Amino acid sequence: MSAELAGWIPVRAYWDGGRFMLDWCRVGDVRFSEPFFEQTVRRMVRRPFNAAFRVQTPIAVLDEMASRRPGLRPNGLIFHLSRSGSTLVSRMFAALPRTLAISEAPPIDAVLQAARTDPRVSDDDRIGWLRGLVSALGQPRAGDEERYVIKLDAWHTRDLELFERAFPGVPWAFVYRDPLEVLASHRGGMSYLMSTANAGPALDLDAAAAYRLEPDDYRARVLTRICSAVLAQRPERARLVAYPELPAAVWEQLAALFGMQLDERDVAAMEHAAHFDAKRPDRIFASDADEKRRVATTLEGAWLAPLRCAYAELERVRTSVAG
Amino acid sequence: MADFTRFRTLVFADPELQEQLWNELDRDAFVVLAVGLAAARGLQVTRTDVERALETGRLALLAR
Repeated sequence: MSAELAGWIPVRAYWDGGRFMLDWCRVGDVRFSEPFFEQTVRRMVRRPFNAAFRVQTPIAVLDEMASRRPGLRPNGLIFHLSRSGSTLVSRMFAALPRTLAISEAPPIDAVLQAARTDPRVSDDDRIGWLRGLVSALGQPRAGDEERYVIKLDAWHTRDLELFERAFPGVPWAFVYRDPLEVLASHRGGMSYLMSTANAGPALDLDAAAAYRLEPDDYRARVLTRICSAVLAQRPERARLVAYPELPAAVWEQLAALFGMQLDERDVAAMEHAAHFDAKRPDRIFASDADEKRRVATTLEGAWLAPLRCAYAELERVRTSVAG
Repeated sequence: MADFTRFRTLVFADPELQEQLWNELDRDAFVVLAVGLAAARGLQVTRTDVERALETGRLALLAR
């Protein structure tokens, strides 16, 4: 089947009867213009063709595809604390010509979580699948793409070591902000990251145990886990980007880290993208930082201490590298 | 339904046929187009066959 899948991408990865499978959509030369991969997929699923001629394959098909048509090598990986500006970063890279930016692709998450369903899945299996997926998602579609940036889910920092084994030498960045402001943002509405139904990938807790925690306590633990995973992975080798450094840090620091030489038009395209709300690009960006800081000052509890420590350490590393 | 399976095989073997079907964005027009293209190849694909495939595929793709 793989020979016929030129112009198709894997959009779902899942267990089916003990086999790890992929669903595919034909995307042709469509650009990933929406803020998140899933939004583009839903646009593709609305095409009658993709529904009527749904294609399923075992994930093993990726090996043959990658050897026959290797996709772009990623320029860089973007990890983040959530609600910290990482979608803006991804949008700014997507605004560059000849650049493919994939944001929070569910099949990547499914591969990373595969061993939760079947413990026989090894790290080597996950690395092979991850490489195959990144290759399949990184197929040039317009024909002129040469740069490739992948933004991961917030909880993927815990798999940083796996990413470094899968993509040795590919630089990564971690985008974060004061975690109390992140907590304030998450108070404003339920998110996939903070749903206790996802306490497994987020915290290795079952949902019942997670549900017994105070919501702020639970959220703080999730954020602490994300930060701790970054600190455990020698972040001196990566680039820590704090929210107040955005958007300039993207063209001043991250582009070079990702091996991109930008000209004036590239920077102008990035600046233009930064004027709009990253998650709702039809709206002009309006900062709500003051409101988040106000809510953040109302947060208190012993559960904040580990999070404050992790944040202080991130800041220490970031400023010592910068200095 | 057997003819729909055969039509599907033809579609995956023929990039031009695939492109023609992929470019049709309207669901009803797609059904008519698929039935017509199958008939032109001697296959008796019905509207029901195509509509069933559309609904099954859509639900599967959105469910995960």
